[in-house]
Amino acid sequence: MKLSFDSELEGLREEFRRPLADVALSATVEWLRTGQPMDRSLWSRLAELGWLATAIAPEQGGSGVGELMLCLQAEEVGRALAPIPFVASSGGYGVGVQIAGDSEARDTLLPSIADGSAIGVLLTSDCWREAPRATWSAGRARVDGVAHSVPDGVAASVALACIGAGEDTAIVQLDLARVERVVAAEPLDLLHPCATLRFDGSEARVLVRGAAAASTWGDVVDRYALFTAFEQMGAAAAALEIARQHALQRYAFGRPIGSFQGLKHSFADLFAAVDLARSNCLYGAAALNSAPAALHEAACVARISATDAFRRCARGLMQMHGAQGVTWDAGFHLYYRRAQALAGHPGAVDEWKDSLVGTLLVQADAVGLAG
Amino acid sequence: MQLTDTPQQADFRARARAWIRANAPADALQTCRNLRYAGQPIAEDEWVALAKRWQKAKYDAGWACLVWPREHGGGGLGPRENVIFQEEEGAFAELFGPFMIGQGFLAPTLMAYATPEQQTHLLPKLASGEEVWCQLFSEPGAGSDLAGVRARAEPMGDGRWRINGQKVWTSGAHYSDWGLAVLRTDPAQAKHKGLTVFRVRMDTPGITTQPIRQLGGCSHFNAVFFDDVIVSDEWRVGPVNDGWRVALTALMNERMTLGASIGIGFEEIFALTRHADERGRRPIDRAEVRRRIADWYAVDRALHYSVHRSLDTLEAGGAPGPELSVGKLVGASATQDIAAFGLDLLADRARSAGAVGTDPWVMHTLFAFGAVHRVEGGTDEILRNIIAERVLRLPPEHRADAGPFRDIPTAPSGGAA
Repeated sequence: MKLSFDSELEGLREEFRRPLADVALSATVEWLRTGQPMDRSLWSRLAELGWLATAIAPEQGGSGVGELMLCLQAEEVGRALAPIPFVASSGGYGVGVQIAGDSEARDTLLPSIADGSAIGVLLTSDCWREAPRATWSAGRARVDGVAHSVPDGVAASVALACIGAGEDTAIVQLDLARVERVVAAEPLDLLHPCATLRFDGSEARVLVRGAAAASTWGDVVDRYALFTAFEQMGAAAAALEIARQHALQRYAFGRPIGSFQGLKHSFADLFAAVDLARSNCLYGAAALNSAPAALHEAACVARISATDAFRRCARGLMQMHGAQGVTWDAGFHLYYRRAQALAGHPGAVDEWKDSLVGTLLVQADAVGLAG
Repeated sequence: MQLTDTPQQADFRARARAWIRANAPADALQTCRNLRYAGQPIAEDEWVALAKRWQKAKYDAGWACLVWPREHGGGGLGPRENVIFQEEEGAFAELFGPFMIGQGFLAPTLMAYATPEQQTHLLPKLASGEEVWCQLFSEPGAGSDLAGVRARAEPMGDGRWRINGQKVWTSGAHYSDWGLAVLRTDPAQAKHKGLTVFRVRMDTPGITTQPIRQLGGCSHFNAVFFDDVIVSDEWRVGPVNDGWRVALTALMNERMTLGASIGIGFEEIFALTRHADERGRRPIDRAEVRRRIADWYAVDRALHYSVHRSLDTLEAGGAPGPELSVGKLVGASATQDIAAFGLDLLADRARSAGAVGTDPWVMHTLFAFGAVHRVEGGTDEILRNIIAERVLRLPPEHRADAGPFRDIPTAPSGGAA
């Protein structure tokens, strides 16, 4: 088992950090005034530099570095708390098309993801209160249903969804241009504003149809969840670091507040939470790279511990700053909000826990039968 | 980024597996499983004898102490091979118990500070399990504040030293051949200065070992009394009055070994939740139970993978540092939570431990172990200080123990109500 990225990828991480270095929290708070669903200038810059296309093959306009790079990028986007739909579009939708689409679908759909002109989202289980309905005619599908409060749903232009059941299960691609979209008034996550999408006989492009579609969709969602876990872990580490810097600078009772054991012990617990998340994320990356059979379980544990770490660190970040921590302008609420939003998407964390136990029970039964 | 073994690792694993299959005491497998988490399925002397037999078999075949140099009786291999061997050993790795302190914590100290002749004399017997070592560090007034030891070693002027004082919480002192003791040799110096480390044979006249019963009912640890114990200067390990540095080598290895080697009780609680009651109901079918199981699995896996991350660090030429404290800090509390959760689920059946290996017995074992583990080898509080100060670089605690050791207060000053 080797749970570290090789030096080539670590070098690329350093390069990717450069365009993200300008994303200061104060600037992000200021950016909120624009009312934009995403930071378009950062997005264009990343697109120009090729950073939206690392997991896309050269034939479709990408650089073909691979999905491991998306893990690192997601961690860095999380660390910067960048208001861009990177993980959804490149890690969810882009990888989804790559896995579920045939070469024609990839050729058609991926170049616009690579150049940033399209923004994709995955309509995962947490978006549907009722399963979407599909009407089939001559191998084409039309979709009816409501995807509620889709994260990054305001910015998104295209989506992937899994519809139907049994032999009629299909992974479909949807163009959102003509779909009715209701923008949420007061989104929980201000950096990835959500919208409700009403599909009313919307024409869908079928990527996979048949019993295999469900397992392919599971694979797509597992990857998206793993990238999200990296984002959560990176954001948790950043929140911890901001809090640590504050605790070193801020004096009370004639001492830096970071010298008080009450705070130090809280910090140690936050560090432990991030470290557990990091271990599980790295294992997930290794599974992604070398052991697809282990990916689902790995995605589950990464998602569980990264959700926990981000929640704890976002809370800790506010708490360590006292009253300043709960002001709008300090911006720490953006971590707090993002941490809570990501606990619910992709897939509520309790769904991941339930699925993990299901997987463990199957394994335990298999061992029992073998023994 | 690789979950699978390299071809060399796979080859090593296959050889280890074949040898273990052919040589491990298969009839003791269930006993070994029940030894986890300091369980006591058999009498202690039987356990030590069983452990010594397995250790000797490994030593004779070249599988003992794999990371040690060959000249000391080890395997001359890397930490990665050591982990692979332990994985293949499975439950039999529980037989490491009596040797954990000697081989895990103290041997690295001897390799760093003992003379080559002493190493040649001591290490092979430690590797083979012929001689067992204990760690004579803590005292009634020096636990978390370990540098506060008061047991004295005084030079007799003829190349010998006279030792007086008391050590406590000494695991395995009653079956150990040797102990490594931190002793105060100069109380006029500052607390961390006037300390010196000695090895002492536990059958030296003047040493008395008194068992202390633990909450689980067994007596793994002891009080050890030194009354005018005379030792030769040859038994000194490291320079006079520089013993704190020597002790730190052992403490660092203690946390690495303790944090890395022990699970949190996940398999045990997962098994319990799959067992159906009289009416066929399984706890694992309840949503709130599934959530707890999933959370603990995520912790269990993360701690396991963290060990492999530190192996990567070692192989890249780095030294895994104080961040290893996370393992025991997180793991011990998780064990305590798991035990309480399991006992809650068992309800009336939790009220007595019952037969060895049953769910109530296992949960009673974890219940005791969780509490012990949060304290041994660095309390949760000390580990948090270490992470905060040495990993996160937050300012150190304000201290009131500067100046000569003999002037440091040890109790409220007189006149208090």
